[in-house]
Amino acid sequence: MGDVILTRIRPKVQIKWLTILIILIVGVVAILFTHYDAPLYQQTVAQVEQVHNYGKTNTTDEFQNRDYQENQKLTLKILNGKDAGKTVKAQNQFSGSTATDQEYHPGQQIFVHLGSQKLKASSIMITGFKRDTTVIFLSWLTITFLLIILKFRGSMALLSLVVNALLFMVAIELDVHTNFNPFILFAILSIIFTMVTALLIFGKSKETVVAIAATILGTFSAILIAYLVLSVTHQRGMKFEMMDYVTQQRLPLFFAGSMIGSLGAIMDLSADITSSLFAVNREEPTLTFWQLFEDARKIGRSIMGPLINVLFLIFVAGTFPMMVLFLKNGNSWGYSCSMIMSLGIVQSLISGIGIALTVPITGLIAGAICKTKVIK
Amino acid sequence: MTTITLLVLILFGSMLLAGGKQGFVSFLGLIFNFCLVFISVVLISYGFPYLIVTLINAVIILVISIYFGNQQGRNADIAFITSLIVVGIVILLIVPIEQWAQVQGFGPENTEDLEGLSLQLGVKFLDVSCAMTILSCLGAVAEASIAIATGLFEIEAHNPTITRAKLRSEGLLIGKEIIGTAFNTLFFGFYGELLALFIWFSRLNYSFGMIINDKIFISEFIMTLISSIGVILTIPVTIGIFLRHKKTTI
Repeated sequence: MGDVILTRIRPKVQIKWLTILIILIVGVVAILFTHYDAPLYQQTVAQVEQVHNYGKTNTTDEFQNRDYQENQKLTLKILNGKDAGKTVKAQNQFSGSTATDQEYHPGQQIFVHLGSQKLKASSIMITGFKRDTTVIFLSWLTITFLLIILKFRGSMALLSLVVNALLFMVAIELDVHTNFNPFILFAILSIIFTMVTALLIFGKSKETVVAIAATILGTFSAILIAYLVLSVTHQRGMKFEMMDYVTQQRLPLFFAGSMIGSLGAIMDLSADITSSLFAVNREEPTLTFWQLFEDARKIGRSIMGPLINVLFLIFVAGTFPMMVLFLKNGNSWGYSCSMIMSLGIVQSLISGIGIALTVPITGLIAGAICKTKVIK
Repeated sequence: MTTITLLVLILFGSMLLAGGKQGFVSFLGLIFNFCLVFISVVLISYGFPYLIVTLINAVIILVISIYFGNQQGRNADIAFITSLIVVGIVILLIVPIEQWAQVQGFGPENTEDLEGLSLQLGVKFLDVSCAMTILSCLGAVAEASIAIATGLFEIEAHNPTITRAKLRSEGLLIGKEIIGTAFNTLFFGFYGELLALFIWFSRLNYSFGMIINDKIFISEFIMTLISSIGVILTIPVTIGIFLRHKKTTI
């Protein structure tokens, strides 16, 4: 019997090694490619060749924060454009906290702006750091783990990510280039997101239809409640002026962001409850509507807390750099929290309400569908 | 009444409606977690070593996320051990990646917000970024490990004579089911958070090359990918711990 198992296992292992080898090679090629992709950029890319640090001075600001500032003389080799191959000098200044600046090291690639003055150090401005290699590496690592652990069973998850990213980009372009109401636009996008994702991940079935309906209802009730609350309380304590990167009306944008942000978690929950309820109903068709509804609550309440936590930690942790900045600039805990964290907290609260409400909503819909089927 | 107070009350009400007493405990867990996250950022801004602050608070947050509002027992224990291991691995990935990507602090898009503020604070923003990324992945890892551990226990309870190989393949099947939805939770959260920034990119005609090197975009993208990797790693680790645990109890 031992022999039988051995001969069965051996080819399996070899295929696995081959796949891993292919994935490894693809990764190395992709990472090498981003290291030499400077000619593809319109901006000038340069590589740091030599670094000379000098003039370190200690600083103390008006809030008694002690830090330092240091200068760097950089020798750069230009990698693309008509000056490719030339060596130039540039200046850089960085602080110990590196909030908006950074220290450069030999081998790093950066974006520079070459001024009109014939490659003189004073006319060369560093405009950014090249991060594409890191991004490609981490994306590759994610896909590799997914394929090694789940084999091709994980590919649907990847496909839905790609499709959603494309849909998202189309919606952004529509928002920017047309006068369509942004909230309605992103509401429509959310509905399409829900349908496409559910069909790709769960396949075509009655359960999927129920999950889609419950997701849409749950999300919209959360947004409706948030809208009513904001109107009733006249947005008291909300710091919409602190919203980042705003280029259009704030309120619709905030609602659209909260809606899309909570959609995934709500879909997760409604799909879990729906598939469990249908399975329970198949096993015990004698269960009444209210027994099924109770089952939905039982499943929902154990998943609900951890799911709300997922979004909450993402939304609140994202405010860390601004929080540190505010706290260190002589602001009190309460003031910093209300200025910086309030929007993230409200966004998590809205998604939390959506997730919690989805439990009874899914219970009602799934229970009703299960029972009407039996009556027929 | 402020908007936040009313929303908190409504969240409390809807969690009670959805989960009764367990909903109440989950709500308490959220409040505790908020306090822990807040304490973390305050301590880091006071100059406490970020890794120690984050590690201690991460463990407490995991305890709260897994044991509060979830039925306690062997599956919660397995989920907890799994989360600790996975978060440990993920931290080993986060520290060099953040160093490599240099996405700490603020980007050129933040310039307006920074006016009049002192930026030389003596706090390393690279540390702040690492802390932020570590804390943001805890929820996803905890959620995934609970889902898989609970699923495995259900299968075992349903069929006590099930073989180890069968359990492993069933575990991978559960993993496949949760990975799709977990990715969506993370990536929709990412889209929702950065909606305004994406519109900014489009309005100011950022090229693809500018976006894929943009400090803020990459910082958030790294957070999302790290959480995704955490969720993926949770699958084999939970199965491994479950099988190990099974062996020692027999």
